[in-house]
Amino acid sequence: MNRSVLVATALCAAWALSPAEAQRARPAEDIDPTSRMANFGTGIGIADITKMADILVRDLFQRPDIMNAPRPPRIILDGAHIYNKSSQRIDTDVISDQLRAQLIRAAQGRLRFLSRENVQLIEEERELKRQGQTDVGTRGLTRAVAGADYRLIGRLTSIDGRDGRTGAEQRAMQLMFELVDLESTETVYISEPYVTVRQQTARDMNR
Amino acid sequence: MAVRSGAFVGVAMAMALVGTAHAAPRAKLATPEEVEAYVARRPDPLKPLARNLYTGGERNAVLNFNRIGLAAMEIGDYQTAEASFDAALVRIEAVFTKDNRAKAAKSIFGKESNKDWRGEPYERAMAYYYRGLLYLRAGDYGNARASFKSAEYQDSVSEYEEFQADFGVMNYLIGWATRCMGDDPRAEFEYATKAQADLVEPPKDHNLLMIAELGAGPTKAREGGNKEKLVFRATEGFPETMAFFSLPPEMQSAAPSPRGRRGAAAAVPAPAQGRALQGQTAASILYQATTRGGRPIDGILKGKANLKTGTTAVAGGLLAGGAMVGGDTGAYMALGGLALGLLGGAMKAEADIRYWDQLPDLISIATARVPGDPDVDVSFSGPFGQLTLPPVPMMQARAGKCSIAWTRSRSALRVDDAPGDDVGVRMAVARKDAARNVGFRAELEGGK
Repeated sequence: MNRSVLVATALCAAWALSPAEAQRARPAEDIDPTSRMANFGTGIGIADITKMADILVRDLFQRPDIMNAPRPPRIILDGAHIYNKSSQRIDTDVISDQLRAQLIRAAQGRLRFLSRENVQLIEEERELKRQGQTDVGTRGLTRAVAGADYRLIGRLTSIDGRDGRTGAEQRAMQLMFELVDLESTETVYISEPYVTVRQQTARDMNR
Repeated sequence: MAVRSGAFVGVAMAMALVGTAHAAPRAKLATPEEVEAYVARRPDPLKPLARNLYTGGERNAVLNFNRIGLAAMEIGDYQTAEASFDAALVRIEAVFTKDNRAKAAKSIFGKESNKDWRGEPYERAMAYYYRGLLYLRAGDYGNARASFKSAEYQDSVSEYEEFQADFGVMNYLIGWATRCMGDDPRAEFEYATKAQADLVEPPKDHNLLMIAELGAGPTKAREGGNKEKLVFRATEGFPETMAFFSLPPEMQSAAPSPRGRRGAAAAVPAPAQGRALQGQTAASILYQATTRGGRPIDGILKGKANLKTGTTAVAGGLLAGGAMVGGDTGAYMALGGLALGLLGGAMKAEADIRYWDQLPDLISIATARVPGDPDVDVSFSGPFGQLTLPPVPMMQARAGKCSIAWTRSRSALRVDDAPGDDVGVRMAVARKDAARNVGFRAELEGGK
């Protein structure tokens, strides 16, 4: 192919594939929720939460005093008692839901979880049964709702830093849990701190 | 003939390629019907801002989300306000490795306003601040604290060390949220009172935070021979400098006395009932805007301006010299001058002056201990006494341990498009960004 052909082809192709034309709205991609790609920025994301929950479940299951108790201990775990003291805005229900799901599925009855966040709903249903507006169901009545032995309390904290010269931003985050005895206040278990340190350099001209 | 047929084949191949590339559906601008359908689903006061958002695309998304967020807070549409600020903050926090709009802004032939607007640090801090107030309203003190921490962090990018982290109101609010969480906030209040002399730590038993925003925040303007310098100007015509919070008689306790105020002292207006608390001046947004120092883009704009000035000067010299020399040489010089003159004229060094026009000038704060739901009334005064201003609705809520009452002296409702925007750039970018904005509009439609 001679030179004029190449030039003509290149010119037309360049026009055809110019950035404005080459841009197309692309459909959303699926990303593995356990991969690093699932986390943007310097904070924690769903991949961290899944990994942290997995570590905590394995760790807690190594504790015979809790897992092999003659009567399965009752635990309260909810997002309201995962304290976010970090600089990242986060829905702590994502953490509590992931933990509860992994713990309940793995424990197979050796731990019992109480749903305190739904207590009002349960009280209303109990009231309907006791007033005779509904029958008692198939499992009978209990004198009171179940009392708890422990509460799993979490704390999310962070340290932020910025290099004014390069614009690099760094954030260290720590997530840890304590299992607190609701009679004695004793901490009977503490998780290994889950720590991430992430840095990114902003290429945004505003920063 | 062989050459001609070869060229023909080449052009035909290229045209085939063109045909393939153009066969896919082209991204298009929003049609008037699509715009109206989107706008029709918004509350009336938000309709003009929703139209701006839908048509403004990603380039003005942060500004438009911020404007909708604040207007929605004013009309009590807190769900929209939360979603809007979340959408703005996601974009503020995003870090791009390949940003065509930023590249265009840095190009010598492109204006800075090509870039996606994310605001100056004080504007970004205020987006976090409003999100934090909405979290306080909902009783989500952890995320409120995180928002105020992020707001305070935005101030840490100041060029001058003495102005870094001097946005004391953010530390105060971190302290307030920390206390509402049940933790010890002493360190944060200490920071706040050091950074802002008017602030004092609220008594431990206070559970109501009252905030009034006064006046209008800074506007942006261009200075310099090529309009390359961004400057902030105070907005005149807003005399209010003080807020007084009135509580019903049964609501006891008071805020600590302020240790001094900006401007002359004014008589405390007598409340209709109960007692009035004078707010403490917690922040000046103009001060925050003007103490930030240089931006990374300023160096680029200065370089562009110098190049433009130099090119234009050489062009002028060549034109004048050509006229003097005459003959063929003079003609060539004149031609060269003309070409350089055109080149200089095409260079764009103007600073981007899009700004968030709803921001206040001052933030005034008071606290109190109240037994139940807050029921606060606010009045404003200036150096010459009490002012009668059109009422702006107040956000009042109690959730968890604490309550909040928030209002403004001036309405945040707006009808105009992004203030300070360059219409030519907006239209050009809208065409170039057509594909990106298809996704943007899909995101908006997804939010209904």
